[in-house]
Amino acid sequence: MEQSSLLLKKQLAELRRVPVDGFSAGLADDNDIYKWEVLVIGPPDTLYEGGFFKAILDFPRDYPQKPPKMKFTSEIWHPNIDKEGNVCISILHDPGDDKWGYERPEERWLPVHTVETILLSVISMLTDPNFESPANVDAAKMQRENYTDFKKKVAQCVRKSQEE
Amino acid sequence: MTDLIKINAKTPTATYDVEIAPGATVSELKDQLLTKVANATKSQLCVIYTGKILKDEETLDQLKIGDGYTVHLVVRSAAAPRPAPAAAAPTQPTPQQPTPNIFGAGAMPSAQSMMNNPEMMRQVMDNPMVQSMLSNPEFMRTMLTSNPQFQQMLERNPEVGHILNDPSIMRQTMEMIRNPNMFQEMMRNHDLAMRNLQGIPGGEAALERLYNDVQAPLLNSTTGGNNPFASLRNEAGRDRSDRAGQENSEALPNPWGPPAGAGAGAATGTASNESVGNNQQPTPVPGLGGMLNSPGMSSLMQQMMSNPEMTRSLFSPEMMRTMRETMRSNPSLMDSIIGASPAGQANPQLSNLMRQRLPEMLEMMENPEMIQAMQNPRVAEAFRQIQEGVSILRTEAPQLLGMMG
Amino acid sequence: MTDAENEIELQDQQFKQIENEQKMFPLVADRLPFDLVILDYDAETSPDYYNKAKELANTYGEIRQIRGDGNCFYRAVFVGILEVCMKNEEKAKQFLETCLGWNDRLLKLGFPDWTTNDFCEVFTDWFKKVVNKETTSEKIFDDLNDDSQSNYLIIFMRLITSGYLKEHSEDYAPFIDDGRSLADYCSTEIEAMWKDADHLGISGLVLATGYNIRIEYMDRTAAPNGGWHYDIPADCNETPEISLLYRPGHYDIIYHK
Repeated sequence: MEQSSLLLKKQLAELRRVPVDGFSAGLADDNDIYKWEVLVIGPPDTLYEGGFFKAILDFPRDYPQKPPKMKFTSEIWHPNIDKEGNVCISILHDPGDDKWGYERPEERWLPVHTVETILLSVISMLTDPNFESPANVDAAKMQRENYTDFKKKVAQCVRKSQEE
Repeated sequence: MTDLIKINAKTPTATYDVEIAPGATVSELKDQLLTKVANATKSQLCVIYTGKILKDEETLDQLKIGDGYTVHLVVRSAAAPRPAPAAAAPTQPTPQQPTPNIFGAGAMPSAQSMMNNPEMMRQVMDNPMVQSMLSNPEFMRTMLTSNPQFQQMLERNPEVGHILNDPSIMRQTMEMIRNPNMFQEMMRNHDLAMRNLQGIPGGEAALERLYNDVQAPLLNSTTGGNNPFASLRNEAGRDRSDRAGQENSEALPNPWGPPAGAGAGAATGTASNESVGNNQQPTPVPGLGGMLNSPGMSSLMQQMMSNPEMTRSLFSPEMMRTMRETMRSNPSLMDSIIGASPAGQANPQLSNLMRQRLPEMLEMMENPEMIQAMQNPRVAEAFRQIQEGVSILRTEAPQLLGMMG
Repeated sequence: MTDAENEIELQDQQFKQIENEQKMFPLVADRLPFDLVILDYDAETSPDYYNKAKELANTYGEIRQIRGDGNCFYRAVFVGILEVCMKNEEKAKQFLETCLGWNDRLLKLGFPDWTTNDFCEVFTDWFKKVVNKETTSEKIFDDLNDDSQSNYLIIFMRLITSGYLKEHSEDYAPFIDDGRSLADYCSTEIEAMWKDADHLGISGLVLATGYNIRIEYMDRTAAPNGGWHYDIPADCNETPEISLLYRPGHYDIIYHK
């Protein structure tokens, strides 16, 4: 039994019993502890409020030495989420990933991070986008230059996510 | 039924616990929750567990939700997701002003269409009144620091405080509020101060809210729907006739006080939209009255009124002069407003009255004694009391006011 | 693709390549004759290194190479400690006590209890088997060469290093010269996997574990005659039981003759 799967099982059991505000997490496939399904509840007082955004957390076998990948399967329009839904925040990047050199280094992945700390970072990203390294350049541009359209686009995603 | 299990349903603000049979359906769980959650219908309840929104027919045991487990509960808003902040507008009269203002009947002007019309926006921003207000650092500082949202942010992030003491940063911040392009430019230039502000938790959101609280109301005030002089006019007419002979020091109505009849707008929206349409292009109006009608600003303004220093700077001679000049340089302003108001159209007598009073008011504004009086905090306080009195009258004895008008 | 993206792409490939090359080495190799080190240098083209290697070969008989994945310092020290403990039950028990104590020390410092407890438990559970001789030397080295197991143990080493530095933040903060706080430094440089240890990391691990080390420096500054090495901590009285060979950017374990 790999250490990573033990640690993930513990976290899963804990989150099932006592969920954390703002998101809900379970397995996408009951036989695969490395693939989690997450529902992010659009944070109150943001444009994303009211939305239920589905995402997949993909853990590597060498978790927690390496971070998981997170990908939204619900459509979501945000500067730090690329158009395929991949979440690009620094704590999901390994310290070895030097191409992200312009980010503040202390925000990188650390083995002590948990599903909870990851999701809390994602939720705070929804509240405060990071314009320095947009993964969706169009969204970043729109947010800055045409905020009205940006809001419309986000509102569309919120509505869509409610219908899913 | 002895073997009920306890389930906690957690919303961002509260936790509800219910006792329910282990084999109950999600639908039954919702029924139980409905008895505890105020003002919600069943279709608004959304129960979430292990990454999934639960379906009504699923049962707790199927879902392996056991005793003592916690699920997420989201109470969806009844209507569509609420409108974006910039478009937010008061939709119901506040309790203090239950009577819709006859002149203030206005379409909640579309700030969005303004945003999409750079030319119009520029006009508003170039308006001397708006400019002089925005370019007064003292005024801006007081306004920012008295904004509860901004205050909260300052409490959490004391390091931002220095921004308020640095005139150049203040100026940039003001520029930003004035000019969204500037905001973008600054972001591009990675201006350090701004980045710091954005880098702190909540900073970006606070800036945005400020932007919405200040700029959007300014925009809103310009479409002519919210008669910016409504409160001015009403009080002038009533109080003066009421207390003829007393004249002066107290007689000038307080144009900065709480708005009368904020937001009759939504109800009569269609009518005013038409009238704005008739006007072809709305004239940029020094619309402080309208600005006061926005929810963010009215609380802010009320705060300002209770701050003597603030009041003094607001009623500074320059401020008064700008206001005067704006009105004078555009005599058709009042006319177009009166003309655009359905009430004004319906009541020619009233319109005439308004036109007559205008020069009188302008004169008063030019009176140095008056200006001085306005700078006296106690005078401002007196105005507030008068207004409160009038608004009580309006609620309790509308027929009385009608007679005075 | 822009130039910048291209550059990133190339860098990426390079990192992957280095990573893959490194993965061909075992995490913890067997003990091999020290003469191997001499073979790495050419007497003609790099006489400084060659001479130094020859000189070291007089003192050290064997070398155990460690994979160069950024964790080599922590791994080398850990393996060194293990080898001491496998031979000396008293010391093994003592080290177990130290490690058990670290769980509370870390929590007291504000490390997130969830994951911290897990790393501590996994480490101490594993190490108890060594102390109680419930495992074999072969199994131990199998585990040390299993990426998942081995790195889990390394995370613990990094955590206690960080913990020690934080417990003595007043002593160490002045050594961080780029304006970062000690806490920032620890999360960036110590707690993060694959980050090479620098001087603070070395001190921290030595003091957190209670095991002194000697480092032989194989670089150009090394004098060709006379033992040129560093003992950590500098004021330790006895010859440390664990010796490491430092070659620019990398640590291996070496063994006295």
